[in-house]
Amino acid sequence: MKQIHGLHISEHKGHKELSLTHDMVEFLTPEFIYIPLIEQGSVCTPCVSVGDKVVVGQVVANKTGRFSLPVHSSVSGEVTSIDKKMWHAMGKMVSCIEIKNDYLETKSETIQSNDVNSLTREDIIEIMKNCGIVGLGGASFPTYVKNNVTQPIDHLLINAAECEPYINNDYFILKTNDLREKFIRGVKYAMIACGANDAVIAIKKNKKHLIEMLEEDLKDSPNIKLYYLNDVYPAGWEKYIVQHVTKKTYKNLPSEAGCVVNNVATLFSVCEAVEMNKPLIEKTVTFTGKGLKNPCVMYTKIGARVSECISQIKGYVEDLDPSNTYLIAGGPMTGRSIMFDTLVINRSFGSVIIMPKEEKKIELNCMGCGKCADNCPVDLSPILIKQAVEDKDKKAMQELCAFKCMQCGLCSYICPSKIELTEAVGKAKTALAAK
Amino acid sequence: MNSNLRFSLGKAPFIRKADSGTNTYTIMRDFIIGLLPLVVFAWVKNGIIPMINGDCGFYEMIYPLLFCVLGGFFTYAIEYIYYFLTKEKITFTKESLLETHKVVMGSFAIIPGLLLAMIMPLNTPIWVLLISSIFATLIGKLLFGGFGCNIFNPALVGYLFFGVAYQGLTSFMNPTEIETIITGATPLGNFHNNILSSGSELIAPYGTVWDFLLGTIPGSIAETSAILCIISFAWLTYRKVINWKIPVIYVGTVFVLMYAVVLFDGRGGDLLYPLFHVLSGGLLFGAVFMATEPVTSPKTPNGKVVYALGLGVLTVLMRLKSNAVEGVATSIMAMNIFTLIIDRICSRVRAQKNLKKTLITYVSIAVILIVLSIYPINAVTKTSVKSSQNFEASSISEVYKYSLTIENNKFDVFTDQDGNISKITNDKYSSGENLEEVKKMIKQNQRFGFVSKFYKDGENYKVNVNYLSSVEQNNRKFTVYFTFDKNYKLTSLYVIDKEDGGDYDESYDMYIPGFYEYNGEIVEDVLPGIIVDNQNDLYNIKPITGATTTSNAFVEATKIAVNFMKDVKSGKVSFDNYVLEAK
Repeated sequence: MKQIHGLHISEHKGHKELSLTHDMVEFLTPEFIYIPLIEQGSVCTPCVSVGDKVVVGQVVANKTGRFSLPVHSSVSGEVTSIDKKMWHAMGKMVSCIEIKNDYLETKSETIQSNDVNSLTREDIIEIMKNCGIVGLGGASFPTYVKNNVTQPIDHLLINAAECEPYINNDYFILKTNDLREKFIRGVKYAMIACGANDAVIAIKKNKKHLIEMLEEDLKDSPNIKLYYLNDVYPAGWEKYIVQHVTKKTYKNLPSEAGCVVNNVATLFSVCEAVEMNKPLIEKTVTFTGKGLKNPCVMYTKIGARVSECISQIKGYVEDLDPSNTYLIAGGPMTGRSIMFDTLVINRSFGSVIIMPKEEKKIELNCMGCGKCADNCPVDLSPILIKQAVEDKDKKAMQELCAFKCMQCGLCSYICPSKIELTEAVGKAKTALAAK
Repeated sequence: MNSNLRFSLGKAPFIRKADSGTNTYTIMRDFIIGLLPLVVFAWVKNGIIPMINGDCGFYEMIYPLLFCVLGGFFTYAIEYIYYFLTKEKITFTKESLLETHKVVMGSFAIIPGLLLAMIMPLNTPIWVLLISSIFATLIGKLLFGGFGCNIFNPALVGYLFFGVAYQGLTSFMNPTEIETIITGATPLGNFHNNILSSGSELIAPYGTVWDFLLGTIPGSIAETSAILCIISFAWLTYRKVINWKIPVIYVGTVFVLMYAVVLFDGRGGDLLYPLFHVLSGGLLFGAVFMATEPVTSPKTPNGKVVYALGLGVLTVLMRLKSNAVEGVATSIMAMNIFTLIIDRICSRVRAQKNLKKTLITYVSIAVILIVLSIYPINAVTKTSVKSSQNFEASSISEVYKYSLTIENNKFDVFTDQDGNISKITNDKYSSGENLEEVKKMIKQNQRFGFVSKFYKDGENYKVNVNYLSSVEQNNRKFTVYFTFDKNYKLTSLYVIDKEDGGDYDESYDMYIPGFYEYNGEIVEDVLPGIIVDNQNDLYNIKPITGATTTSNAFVEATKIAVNFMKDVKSGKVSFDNYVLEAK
């Protein structure tokens, strides 16, 4: 079996350290919060109406579609609109429930501590569902679905790779002592939830101080092991981790290889949910990039606006030239540039990067070096797919398996002529899905 | 709170390697840097050293460098003119001229011309370079749509055009080599004289393996130095300009297949033979700088492997079974054609991960390649068995006897002077296809020689042999004059070439220096000397270098004379019954 290699990203040296230069900022008092009524592409139906008083942790909407999931309010206050259009990290405006904060932090009655020792597997899965825990790695796949598998599970894999440049959410949790303890407890609950006997934390080799801290903490937990990943992109890809840890591969879901993969931030939320019944209403978000005065990791309410958060950390640098700067929601490899900073933080929102454009203009034909095909983690040939897209040749796109693309962005990253390959393959994928 | 910032929009990923590291411009710049050591070496080897040796003047000294620089300049100028004239509006403002310059630099116009100049033979006139550059750029590159669109490597298009049109105008020797190297051929040209020579025999005329590694052997201007090619390969791989797969697999395939040749020929230990092939004929230069040209080689990683294997097999096929000296350029051009189809098949196989389909595809490609490589190896090694026939001709009766060995059957064939077969001692070969085979071999090896004059000069006997070497020497006729002493020992020989305008003076003393194999040992000698010294053992003289065909003919003529003198000694022939006169 061919191992996925990945590629070390050497550009933007010091990108990870940027947001670690300042302490974590806690910002739990946004003026308004906006709960997007769309998640994972499916619509959420609001269950409150304008004028209603809501409390922290109250269910305000329910996600429809294949995997239903409640959506909670992250502040207490009054619903002022249920169809407010706001910018979303997807790059378009979506309807949101607008809630005006009354700063009272009245908590819902459901938020109370559980008797942890008496919880069974089914209980934990039920808690995960009721608290609306989703995967915080970016895909926001409901965690209860992920853990509720029928196949026997050998390993619970914890994705601590965070291979996207700049982002530091998981590292921050691992670095901070009390957060790390919560995370380790979260690992134990997740092991019960998926029925795994042992857990493997996959972490990049070069994070030596984190590894030391984890080894120290895991002394008494022989069934939680560490696995060291190379410092490459996309080391945080589910398939990459499963393949490197278990030497097995799978087609659709990791459970085929006897694994369940969760990331660090998710397990942190799992811990809070299991112990306190606290829904997913707060999370860490990395605010970083050269365009910010104080890049940092922020612990904030879901639904807060990015502009408000940025003003909490002294705002942008003085000489910011917005027309020459990107505001990226998500990582620099897979994220999206958003035109306005009034976008809202949704559940799977990981980071905001304010990055000045440092671009060279290169307008050349493809010279056929084949670096895109060489580095593709799923063995596609992006340049040939691009040609098929230009020819509108659906058959060729199908034969070239454009649908296997996971949009990691490596092909566009590596292309010496700066051809927009990731975009082209994305188009092919859409064209194939539309058939 | 409601700020009016409008950020710019872009496409993921927002980090691009091309912005700070490797981009197409740096790749092409590094490629040229990789070529520079070879240009300098070419200048030192073909210009400076001959001048130090006093073999040439200043102009000849500067010529190799000038030639390479001009090559790059020509292709640049041609593309400049092309893009300037095809602009919407032709204006002679500074901006307009600069803009065209930028377009041409973005088309990397210098590289094909530089490469073309580097693979041309020395002493090519500059106007030939100009015409080849025009052909390379216009037909090889611009006709297809410019940079990134060409199917064939433009430099090779120019080179093949030059090969067809102007090859005769040039030689591969620099002034010093003309003085010191006797054979007048490049190592590969020499190889074609005898495909199955041993590795040491092939290398010997040009020095040692070290000369091949350093590049102090005759060849194209800048492609001879193996070490510099390897250093450039390391540099280009380190800078991620080229992919290591194509050069390594290409050279590896040639080595393995050439080793198979000696293996099937029963000389398993002769590693110098495959090494000779790797180090000569611009194979390393072609593998590193030509085969890796990204536009014309496959884009998929597995496609690159198939491409490189194909190159290796084709090069071996060309070297063993083609009269053309050059195998590398033609192989690369041939594989360029298949690049698109290789990419098409390999990209699908790689993405789909369908085990059955993958197996079928790779197995069929392997079968094609194996058949293509078995054919030349088999043909060459089989010919060697067949050609081990002995040639013997009876001098008196005008009946010629050929001792043949075909498929381990030894038998004799008798013919008259015109080559008509009168008797075959093995019935198996006297009819049908086998007879045709025998006829073909007789025709190939037919040599006519007879004693045209026999007289006594004092105590010595004088024998003149008229000899016609039919095939290889374009029916060259010459007469060899032998002198035997009273004890019937050969004492001297000389030749007068009957062909006008040939390489020989009227009275040519057969002073052909070279390397000869005698009783398995390689000795450096002159031909008459070795013939006189070994007159009783002529079958063991095997010319290796030098004008081998001519030398062979002289040895055969000597056999006729020596056999004739045996008959004289035994009384079969006397002056009374010797009647044959020159026809």
